[in-house]
Amino acid sequence: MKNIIKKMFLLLPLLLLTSCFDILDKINVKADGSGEYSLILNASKSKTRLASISKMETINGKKVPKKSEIEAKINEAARIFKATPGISNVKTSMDFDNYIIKLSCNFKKIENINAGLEQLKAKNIVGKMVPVQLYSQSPEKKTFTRNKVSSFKNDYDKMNKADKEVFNDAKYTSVMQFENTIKAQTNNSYLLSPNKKAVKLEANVLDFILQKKQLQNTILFQ
Amino acid sequence: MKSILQKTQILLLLFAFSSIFSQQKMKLPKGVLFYMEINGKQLNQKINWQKLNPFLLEVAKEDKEKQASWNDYSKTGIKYDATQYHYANFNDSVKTYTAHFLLDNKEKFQEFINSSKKKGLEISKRKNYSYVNLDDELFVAWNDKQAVLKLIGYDKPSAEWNDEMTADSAAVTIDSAAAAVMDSAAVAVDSAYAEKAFDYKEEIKYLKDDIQYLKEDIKEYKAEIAKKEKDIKYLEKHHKYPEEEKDSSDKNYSEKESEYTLPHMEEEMDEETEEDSIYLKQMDSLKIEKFKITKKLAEKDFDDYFSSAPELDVSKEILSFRDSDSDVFVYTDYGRIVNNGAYGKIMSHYPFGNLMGKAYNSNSSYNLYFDNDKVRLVNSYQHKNEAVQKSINSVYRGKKNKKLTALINDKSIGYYAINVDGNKYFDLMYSLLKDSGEGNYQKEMELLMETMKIVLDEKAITKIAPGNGIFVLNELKSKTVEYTDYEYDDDYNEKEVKKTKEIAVPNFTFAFATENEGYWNRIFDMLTTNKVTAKKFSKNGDFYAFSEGKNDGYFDKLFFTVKDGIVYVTTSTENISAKNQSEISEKWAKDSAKYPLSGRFDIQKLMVGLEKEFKTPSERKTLDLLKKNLGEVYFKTEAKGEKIETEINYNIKNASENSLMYFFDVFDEVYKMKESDKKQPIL
Repeated sequence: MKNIIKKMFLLLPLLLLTSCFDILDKINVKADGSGEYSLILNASKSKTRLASISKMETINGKKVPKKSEIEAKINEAARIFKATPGISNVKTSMDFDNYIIKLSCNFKKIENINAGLEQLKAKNIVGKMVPVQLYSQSPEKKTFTRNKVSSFKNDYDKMNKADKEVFNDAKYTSVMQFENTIKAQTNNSYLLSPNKKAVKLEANVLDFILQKKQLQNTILFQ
Repeated sequence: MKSILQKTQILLLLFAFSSIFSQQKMKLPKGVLFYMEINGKQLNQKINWQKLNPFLLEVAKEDKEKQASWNDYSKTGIKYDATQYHYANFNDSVKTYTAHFLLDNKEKFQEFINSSKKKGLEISKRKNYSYVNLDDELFVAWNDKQAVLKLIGYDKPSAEWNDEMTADSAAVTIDSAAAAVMDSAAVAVDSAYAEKAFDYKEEIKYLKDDIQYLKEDIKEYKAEIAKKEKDIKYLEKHHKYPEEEKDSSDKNYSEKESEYTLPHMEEEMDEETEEDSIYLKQMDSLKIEKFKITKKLAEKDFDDYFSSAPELDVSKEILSFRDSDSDVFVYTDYGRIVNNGAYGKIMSHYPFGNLMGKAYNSNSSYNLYFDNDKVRLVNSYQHKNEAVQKSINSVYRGKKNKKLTALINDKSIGYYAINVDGNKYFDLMYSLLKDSGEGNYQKEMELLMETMKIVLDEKAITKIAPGNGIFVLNELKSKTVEYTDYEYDDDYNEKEVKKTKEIAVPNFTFAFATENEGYWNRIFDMLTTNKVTAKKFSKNGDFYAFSEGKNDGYFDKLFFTVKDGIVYVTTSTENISAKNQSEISEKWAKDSAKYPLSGRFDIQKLMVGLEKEFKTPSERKTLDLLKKNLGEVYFKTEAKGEKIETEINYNIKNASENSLMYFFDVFDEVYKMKESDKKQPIL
């Protein structure tokens, strides 16, 4: 979550004056621990406003990134992910008509994603403060953990009013799908699917920034 | 007996007169950049204390530290119906804001001060006044009849512009006498600075700041190193990673993950080291030194004030545009604000920085009136350079153009009309450039001007757009746009779905006069025939149309046309046909033709247009409040004598007794709404 917010900071000038964007963060894990990771940034609800802002040079004193700059940044992130052992099939898609950006990849084990993020940090694609150990799993214990991330409240408090407004109605959705059947979980804010093979958490981004809701969850399989 | 009484009367009168003449008015410090006079006699009649007092009490509640003790702000001992004088000044190191006011009840005022000051802080008694500091920078002094409030900020000037500072300090000190009374500590600080000596305290402060930043990084890296070292040791011993001790609870997880929570590390970092305590002591001593300086400055000013008559001696220049019937009069020296500040310091280091300094070298006076039905603000702008002011005046004497004003109608949300003399803009530019490259760059500036005159065909340019234009915002229309959202099935697989939403799009017309229709027609023709631009530009009858080919933007199409010496850009071709004008819109049209700049803006109508953007119940409540209270802004600007005068009227719409209380009524309503939102139970 924290790294997603950091990524958002890079795109912040583009999202200024908008209060509608959604983030979908999804993992699909097979029984052998391999799986697929995908991240979708959807600002389609604000596309009219964004189309106007993208024609400007600056907004609220911040430079509005050009389409090519956003593409370069995301392609660089994809290139680094591709070079990470255990990660394959890295795909990116950027729809600048609807303002939807997608990233996805396959992993051999979930820790590969952590390593990929570590690489992004090392290559300065994401900030130094970004935590990288997002997930962990223990096949022996039959558990999968979405780790705790520290608060972004201080960073948020330091923002000016206009920047804060970006997060007002922003939504974050975390989906974790598994081949194995879930027996129990520690965070009941996550909804359990009827087939007991997936959990979903939906909330305002602000709730996570201000730590009103927690992302951490440990899932125990049957 | 009678003669004794008469003699006594004469003596008393003589004494009274002599004491009056001995107390001369205090002169307003030289070089003030802000001066304000509050006409208490008028304003006090417009204040409804029964409404204002509860509002002030609520505001005071917000500030928990100062919460308290005072519950009737209408009785503070301050003589509200007397004139108040406020002024501000700053130079490279001292910023001051001063307020002079009279008292009608000294005891009450002292009680009020006692409730505002820190507990236990003693009031200092001087020869003819008492004073106390409300915080490190805020001082208040009083005697039986008058009081003065002083906010003083002192900062040692930045070393970055050191070379300029010594000269600046001497040149623009607000009150040079103040420097003489600084105590030895203060003088030591300043003289160290003036001599550009190496300031080890400042250096220590910077280094401490650096350490603080590095500590932040160390925390993270140390945590990671510790984790990896632990892993190495474990791997050496067990040839595998440690198994999770217990992984079914959040608590245990966080205990394990040293990256996220490392209590022992944080404790280590949070412990106050000897180094830290030295740093804190140094910070405290700097604070004390700073306070000593501000206190001395305040005392010096208080001495001056209480040995003078309560009225201020203000220069004619400052008061030249004051209207004694206004409720508030404000004078600002914009040239000094810009040039005394950091911006002025920076610009002075650039070769052409002087040009900017010259452009800003102006002052503005404001007369504010709280009438029953409107707030009226009259601004008088004057450039300090006579030649530049004349050029500005000539720019503001443009020709009238009635064809443009025909676009004004009373259904519109607002308009902005401009009638300036475009040709005179060039003269203004040249008068700003003239002499701006004093010294080294004079020749270069003259050459630049000559080159501009050769390159620019001023008359031809002016014919393209002589300086008459209007922007009319007719309405905000609702438009349905499509967007993409995600929905989830039972297994939480996402699915893209198309949804629609309503957005507000403007319906406007922008038009300007031209004396060269052919030029604009050629441009529009070129846009419709050029291979690249023709994809978006087309021609249909008299209109050229621009379309991005998508229907989700703010404009589906923009139309352009040139007709009877006017170039039109509009979102709808219907907009340019003449509309019937009511009496009021005829008046607006007349004004917009008469004044170089004028406009109106109906904020309530704008809110109605934005209705679709307010969705949640709380947003709807805000909208209702805005619709109920927001009024209409009307302004006009003209060149009057040797000044540019702008009058802005804000017509109020609710039932407040006058426009001053209107603002408090609105604040009160907003406050109550926020409070009721807070109290709503969470379902």
